[in-house]
Amino acid sequence: MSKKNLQSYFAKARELPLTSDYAMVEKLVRQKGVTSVSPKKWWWNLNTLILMTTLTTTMLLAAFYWLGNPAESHYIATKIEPIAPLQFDKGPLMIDVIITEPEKEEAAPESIEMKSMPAKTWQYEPLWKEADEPIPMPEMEIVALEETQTNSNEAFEIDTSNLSENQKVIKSVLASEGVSWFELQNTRGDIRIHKSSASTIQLQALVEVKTKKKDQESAALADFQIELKKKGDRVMVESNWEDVFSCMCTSNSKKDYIKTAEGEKIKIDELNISYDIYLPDDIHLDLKNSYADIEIPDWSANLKVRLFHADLHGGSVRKLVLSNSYGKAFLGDFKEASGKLFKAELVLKNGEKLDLKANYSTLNLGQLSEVELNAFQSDAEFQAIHQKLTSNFRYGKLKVGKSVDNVNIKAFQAKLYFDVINQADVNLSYSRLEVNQLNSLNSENAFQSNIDLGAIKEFRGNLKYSPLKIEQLDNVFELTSFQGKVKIDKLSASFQNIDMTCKYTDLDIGIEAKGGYKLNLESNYASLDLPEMSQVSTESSHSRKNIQSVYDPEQKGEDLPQIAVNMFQGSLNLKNN
Amino acid sequence: MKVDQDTFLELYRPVHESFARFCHAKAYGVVEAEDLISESITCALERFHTLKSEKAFLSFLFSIASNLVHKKNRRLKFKGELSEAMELNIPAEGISADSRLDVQLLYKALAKLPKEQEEAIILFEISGFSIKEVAKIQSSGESAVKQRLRRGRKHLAKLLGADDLQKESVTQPSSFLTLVFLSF
Repeated sequence: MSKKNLQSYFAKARELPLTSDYAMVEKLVRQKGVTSVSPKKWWWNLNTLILMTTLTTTMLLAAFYWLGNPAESHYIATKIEPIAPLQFDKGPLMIDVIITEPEKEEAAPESIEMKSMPAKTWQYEPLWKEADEPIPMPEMEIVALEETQTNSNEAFEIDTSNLSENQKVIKSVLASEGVSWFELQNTRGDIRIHKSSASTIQLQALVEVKTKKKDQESAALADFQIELKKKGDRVMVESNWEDVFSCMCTSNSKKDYIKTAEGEKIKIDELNISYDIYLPDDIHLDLKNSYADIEIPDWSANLKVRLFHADLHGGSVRKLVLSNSYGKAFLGDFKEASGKLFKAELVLKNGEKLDLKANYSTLNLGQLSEVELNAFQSDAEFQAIHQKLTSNFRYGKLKVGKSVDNVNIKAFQAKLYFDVINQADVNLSYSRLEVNQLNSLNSENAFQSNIDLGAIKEFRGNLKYSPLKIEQLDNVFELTSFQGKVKIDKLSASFQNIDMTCKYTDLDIGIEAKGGYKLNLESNYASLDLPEMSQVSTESSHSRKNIQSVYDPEQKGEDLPQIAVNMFQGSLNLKNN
Repeated sequence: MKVDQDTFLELYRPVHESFARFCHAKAYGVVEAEDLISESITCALERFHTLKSEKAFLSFLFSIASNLVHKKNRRLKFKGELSEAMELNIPAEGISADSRLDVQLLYKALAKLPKEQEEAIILFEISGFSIKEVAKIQSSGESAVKQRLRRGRKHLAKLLGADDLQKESVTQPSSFLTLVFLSF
């Protein structure tokens, strides 16, 4: 076919009728008119006014804030220091001061001294300095509530010999009858759950308190109490410092004041509690921990865990509800698991059902039956999913090692790798799908995606800008493609139906030589490379071709499967291997 | 220079067809050619008072159209799917389906060229300007324009699978336009 020259293209472009004539443009110009020169703008316009006003207001507010908001300590210092010398040195000047608050000025130092005396002696002459022998720890307390019982059968001891001055151990015991849930929230302290055969819930907590003033640590430590409380079918840990507990401070310092039973106000810098809980494993756990770890043995009841910058190490669980932010969770087998992950890592062994939402996370799971996964910028790896995978996967990598029965996945900028799938429905955008073996694949509106398949029986799909590669196709292939590239290395002799409607697509199909077939081809502006076949009919007009051919090496006659191709542009390379 | 409608129309009239063809080629796949012409004219009217010399009108008008297309193109980046309807927006009147398809292929290939090569080819081959005029519109030297045309044609021939125009003269005259603009 002779080539056209560029000049012919340009000539046709020059012949193209114009959509706008000069009269239309003239009408537009007359209507619109020419914009006259705009007057030079004065710099003081509305924008400048708003900007200047905002700037001035901000500066004034900042000035008021710094000048008119003195701290408490600053106020006390100015109250005490300058008054004493003024009273004696400058009589006439002190008249106002004496008239306004004469008695307060004199009384103030006394009252301050009176209050501070016991504190000072306690501060500068601590008991441990004078003691010949170590002072017994004041914190060894057992909080015994009315309904609590101690279980002597359990190993319920802790080594207290290494405790420092700001540490103490609190123990509490409660009967577990009628208890369904155990609830515990903690920050900056480990939680260790132990399985117990006794019908009690036993708590052992190592408490560490740091106060702003070192001399107040003992008083604070002595005042602090925690106990097990039962509310309905739930048991929870409560303390007399609820304010400190309720502080949502994320920094190391709690920055909270507490008031002891004696009325002393103490500023608590740090309160760290690590728990050892002994309870029967038929009680459900509701645990929350931040900046520390949780340890759980194999647990036969349900588990609800919330982690924030914390790790969870556990055995097998029945039902898991997990909320994990910035943490790691390592658990054994499970029956059912659900939850949310954010910048977290989850490692689970085998289970039945998983329903998870993961953002910026990593998942590593064993063999599961059913999975529902909503992932964003996350990587997930499963050993196998036996029944069903439903997923919305964006910006991540999903890998399933062994077979999946049913896959329904919507992917955006994701990489998906499967070994064996029975039935798959996929919706891919800017993604990559690789499957070694497939029974049936239905690809709905794949856009700019790469599909690479091993052996497949049935393929139905609609592709745009998406290349498709199949190593072996057995039965059915129904494709609509726009600007793509389709390569089928081996089309089995036993195929049933091939139906392709393609625009701007290159088709490269290798057919098993022993299989005969009919070719029904309609093409327009397409480049064709066909094997030698017996021509039934050929119609050709300009760029359009309509070919009906038969390849029948075994002389089967009419029972041959059909390859129907409708092409616009692109190319078709059909070869008998 | 007088800033009024008559002066604008006086300057615009001789270049209307060239300008319309330029807009047709540039607007392909981005915007309707008619819209681009109207938008460019409106924009030119608003900025007409900034034009210092009548000689600069060509460059002024074509730069506006070109900038508008690039602005639209930038916005198109955020749209994922290609509209197939865009490919069928060339009016059918007076031109065969075969020619229409060739023009469509040419516009598609032109859109793949570098901006300056694309504009040089459109201005010279489709709008019918001379090398001198194209150089004036593109604010560059004549030799640069010739180089753009040569490279553009080569690239275009490759894209279209057509014969190159290397042997043909690059100095296609546009005598009428040349006369009009050199007279200013």
